[in-house]
Amino acid sequence: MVLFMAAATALPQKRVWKSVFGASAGVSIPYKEFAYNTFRYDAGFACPGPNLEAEYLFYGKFFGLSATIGYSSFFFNEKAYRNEYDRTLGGYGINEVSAGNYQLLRFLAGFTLKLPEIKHTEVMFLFHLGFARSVHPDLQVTNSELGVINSIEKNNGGGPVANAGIKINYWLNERYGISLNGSLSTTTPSFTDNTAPDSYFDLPVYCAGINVGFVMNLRTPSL
Amino acid sequence: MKRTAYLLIIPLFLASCSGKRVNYDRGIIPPVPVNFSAVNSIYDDYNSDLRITWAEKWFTLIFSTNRQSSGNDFDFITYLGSIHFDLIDGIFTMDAGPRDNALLEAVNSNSNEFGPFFTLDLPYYHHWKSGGDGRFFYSSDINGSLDIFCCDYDFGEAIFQPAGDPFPIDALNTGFDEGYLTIYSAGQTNPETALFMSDRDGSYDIYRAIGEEGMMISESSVVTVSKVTSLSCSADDKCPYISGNMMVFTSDREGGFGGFDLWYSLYDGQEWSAPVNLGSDINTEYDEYRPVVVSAEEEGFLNDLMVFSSNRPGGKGGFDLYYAGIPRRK
Repeated sequence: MVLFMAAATALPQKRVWKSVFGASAGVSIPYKEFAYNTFRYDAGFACPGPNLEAEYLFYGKFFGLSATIGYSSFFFNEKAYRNEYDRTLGGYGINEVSAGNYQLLRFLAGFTLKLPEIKHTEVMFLFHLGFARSVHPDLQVTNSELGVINSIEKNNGGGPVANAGIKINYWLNERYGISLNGSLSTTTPSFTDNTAPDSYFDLPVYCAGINVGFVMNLRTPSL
Repeated sequence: MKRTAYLLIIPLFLASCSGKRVNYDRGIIPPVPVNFSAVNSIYDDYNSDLRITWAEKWFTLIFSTNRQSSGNDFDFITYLGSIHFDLIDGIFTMDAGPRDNALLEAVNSNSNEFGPFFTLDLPYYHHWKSGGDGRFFYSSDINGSLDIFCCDYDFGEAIFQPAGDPFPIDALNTGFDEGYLTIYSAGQTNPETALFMSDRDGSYDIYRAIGEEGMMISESSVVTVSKVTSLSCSADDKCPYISGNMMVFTSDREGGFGGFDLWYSLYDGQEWSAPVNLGSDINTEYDEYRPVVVSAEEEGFLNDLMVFSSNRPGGKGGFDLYYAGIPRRK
């Protein structure tokens, strides 16, 4: 990839730069530890949820720069979490789990590699770093015989985030187009758990986003 | 370029150093009985007493077994073990290994020894008693019927040493069976009150013993003994054991699940409440026997630890020791 970047950069770029705004919506899908559904210290019990992104891209024939603001929400897998308590407590009492959603707000910036446009279609690779603000939901587990056995109050944590993705734009005309985005993000926020011995924990957040949306070229003559 | 890459990557590594997420706020002892396989044998592993040092999370378990005589007479043996609860995966473990115990060498005989109960007497107890760091009570049929005995002991570096010879508690013993003594503090004038079982009235019942004012039960030559009427019935009630304000005992009275079941009663400062069966999570159609309860509140557990013996299927053979968590009742 580094070689490709170097080669692309070395090539003379056509001095036609696009300034593009895009917005998209889709689904965010947790994977790896964030999606694990067994009692591990790093299991997130997260389920897919909605994903929204707004982005700005400035690029030439082969490469450019881009910035993205993304928001993802992940449902907490209450059923899987309850099953783990049923298993470890041997079916003693009735366990109830109530939880909100994880939320992830990403501020990203990075560079873009683009393949030559073919039939109004652009294929772009995006590599981003940035900052993410993650929200851990309210979580409470109650056993009918033992009372509250686990609780975490809603809180948030911030940290660096890395993101890589692919974006396909299909230009309907010089000004507007539609896009299909796919990306992978990873961050490890620290959350507070006042009822735990360490009072905090780090949770690895891995998620994929698949979005569809529109793109708008801001540098067309009409603008 | 390389330096820039390091600057970007280092924060990601730093962010990955961390605390672990737990799934339990506090420890929970398995509410469904678990075979204490680390200590059980194919022979009868019977009644026990347990002392836990929560700071180090280790325990001393003394119980009666006939393994040493290949199924004949019951003797005491000692296991030293550790307790662990994993707040992440919710797994509670009790591991233990056999331990020599000079005290038990002085206590065991060719007859049967049952019902261990040991105290760890506080230093100010020496105002009321002589002897060692604690007293080991037990019952033995060395004289025919079961009688209650006591042996003072010293305790240092997790080793029990006898501090004198075993002696019978004559004020409690009769020609009938007496055993399973347990002690609690019931009033201001007497440092301790004892409960024990006896069949002196035909069936096994639980009796209360109060020594002379200001004297320990083992030091008192005159003891007032009375049946605990609120617990008595025509069935056999055995093996009382007290933890805090709760007494657990075994009984084959009506209302159980078959054979001997485990029951509890609460002390309100005046009298013991009507017995309540510990329920189907603990009891079975088989025999459950000699419950011992240790408070785990100090260590932050949501429930308390109970060890008992049962001949239910699925064990190693005969009676086995089991542990389970029971709700804390106040």
